[in-house]
Amino acid sequence: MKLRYRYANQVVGVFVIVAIALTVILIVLLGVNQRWFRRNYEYYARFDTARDVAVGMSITFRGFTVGRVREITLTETNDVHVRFTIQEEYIDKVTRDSLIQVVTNPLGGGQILLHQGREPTEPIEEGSQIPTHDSEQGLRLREEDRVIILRDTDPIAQALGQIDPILANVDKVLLNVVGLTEEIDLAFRGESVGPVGAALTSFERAVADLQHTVAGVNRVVNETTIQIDSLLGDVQLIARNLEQTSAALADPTGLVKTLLDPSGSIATLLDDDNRLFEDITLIIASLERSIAGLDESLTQVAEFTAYLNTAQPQILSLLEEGRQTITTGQAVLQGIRNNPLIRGGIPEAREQPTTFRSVRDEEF
Amino acid sequence: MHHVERIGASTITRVDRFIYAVGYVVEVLRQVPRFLTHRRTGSRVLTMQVLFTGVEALSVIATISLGIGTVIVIQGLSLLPQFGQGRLIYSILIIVITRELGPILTALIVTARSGTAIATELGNMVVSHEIEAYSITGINPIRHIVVPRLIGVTFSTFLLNLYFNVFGLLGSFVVTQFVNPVSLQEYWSGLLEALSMTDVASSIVKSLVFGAITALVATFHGLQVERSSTEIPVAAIRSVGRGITLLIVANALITLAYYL
Repeated sequence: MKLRYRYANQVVGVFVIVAIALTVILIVLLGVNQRWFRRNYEYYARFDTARDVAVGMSITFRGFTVGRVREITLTETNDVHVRFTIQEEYIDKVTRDSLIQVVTNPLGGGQILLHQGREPTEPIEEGSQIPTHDSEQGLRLREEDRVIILRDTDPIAQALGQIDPILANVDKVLLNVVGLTEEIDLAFRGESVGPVGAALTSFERAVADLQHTVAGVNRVVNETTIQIDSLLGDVQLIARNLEQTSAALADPTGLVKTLLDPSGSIATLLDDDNRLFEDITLIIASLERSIAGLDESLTQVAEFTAYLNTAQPQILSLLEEGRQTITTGQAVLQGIRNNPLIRGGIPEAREQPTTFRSVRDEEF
Repeated sequence: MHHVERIGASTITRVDRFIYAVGYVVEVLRQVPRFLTHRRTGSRVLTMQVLFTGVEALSVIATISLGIGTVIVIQGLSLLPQFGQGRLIYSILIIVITRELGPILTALIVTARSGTAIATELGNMVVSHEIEAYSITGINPIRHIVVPRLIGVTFSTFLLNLYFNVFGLLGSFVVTQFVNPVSLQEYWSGLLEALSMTDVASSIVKSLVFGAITALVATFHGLQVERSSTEIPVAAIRSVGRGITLLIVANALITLAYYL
């Protein structure tokens, strides 16, 4: 028979006794570690929600666990009543103006930080309320710097704390994008009263004005061209008359001979009962009218040139403003087409130098 | 019509078997107090059952729990400190070893070792007419054969679960000394901080329930053998298969109750 079977009772006895001893030791250690025989002081806090709080969650002070959440209840006034205990040896940390803050992370399960009041006082009475970090009282304590706020050392909680504002900003940006999209929709429908709608309306108006201006310039140019054609016709007529007169004067058998011949024009002029004289008078009168017409035409040309000189800066200004309006409009449309969140917004416009700096800088 | 008839017959048979099994469990539980009040008659059986199921399985349990504790610590300490959550290793050790793997792995090992042995032993007793001999001589076979085995296996499973925890947590401490040395006091402090009475109670309840399931299933299938020795291995296989299935279902139900 095997030794083990011969002493089966003893072997089993040792097996059982060791196991029972281990169990007793474990329970005693558990009791000591979990403070079954030590006093805890009870306090409570009120939260808006129990989402981040759980029974058993530890309350820490400068990295030390000083207490635990014991009970969470919903009151009749819809407040979340959280009852927690502070260990006896840390009760002096719970001074006046102390507050608590919930810090959570998905891995650690979260904890509650105890922030001590700045003024050293006696521990506050057991059963009192300790304000939370975000409550009105907590905000006031923080604003008045009556509490020592330490940063949590949990990197995940810190990261989450940094992510929250970013998410809030992203939320705002998305809301702005939605608003902008709606504004653009309204603007394209012509129902917007916002800045984008105003810009599009202004751009539309500027294009219409530019078209109107260009049409006006075209009309002036056409009219001027017609006037210049008319003037050129008059000048050509005068030139042709002068040419004929010169040809007549250059011909020795022509006008001069006729004039100087005894039987010619002079004699005729002197002896033809003023008939030739009247002809000459008529010719001179005709020449005078031609010269007067030429003078008038030259005056008109001068006036038109002066008008053009006067209007040139305004036309250039109008054209420049039109170009700038079109550039701005292109930038706005480019910005709308390029979603600001995705493609980096409105591209920087390259400055196009003008032919002059401003209307006032131009000499005219 | 033939199929309907067959389904009906099969259902009636299954219901009958279930009622029979429930009746068997009730009868065994009814005999437990009587056995405890008249322990002398079956005390040797009980002692031998604890010796076989508990003491002789200790080495297997110790090896497995040491290995699991080692793996958890190595994996945990290589990953968790990167998130600043190094102390989570204690919670993971408690959850895995104490609350979940300890009871179920212990029960599976007991089922594989003792469940098959009990089913085989009882099957042989039936084939060799020992059970009939008990009955003829006026000895209740349930009280003198089944109940000691039930108590022995249940108690052994409970103790083995305790040892599983001790070796698993101690083994992890030894490994911790190579990876990230901490003092024994700090290590136990972290473990005890993560351990709650609910965890202990859950582990104890599981080990007791699993031990009882293992013993009841094994004895039931062992006594199901009728006359041929070829039925014995079939009964052993069935006892292991049904036992494991019932263990997993019971584990899920108890874990569910823990979180409710």
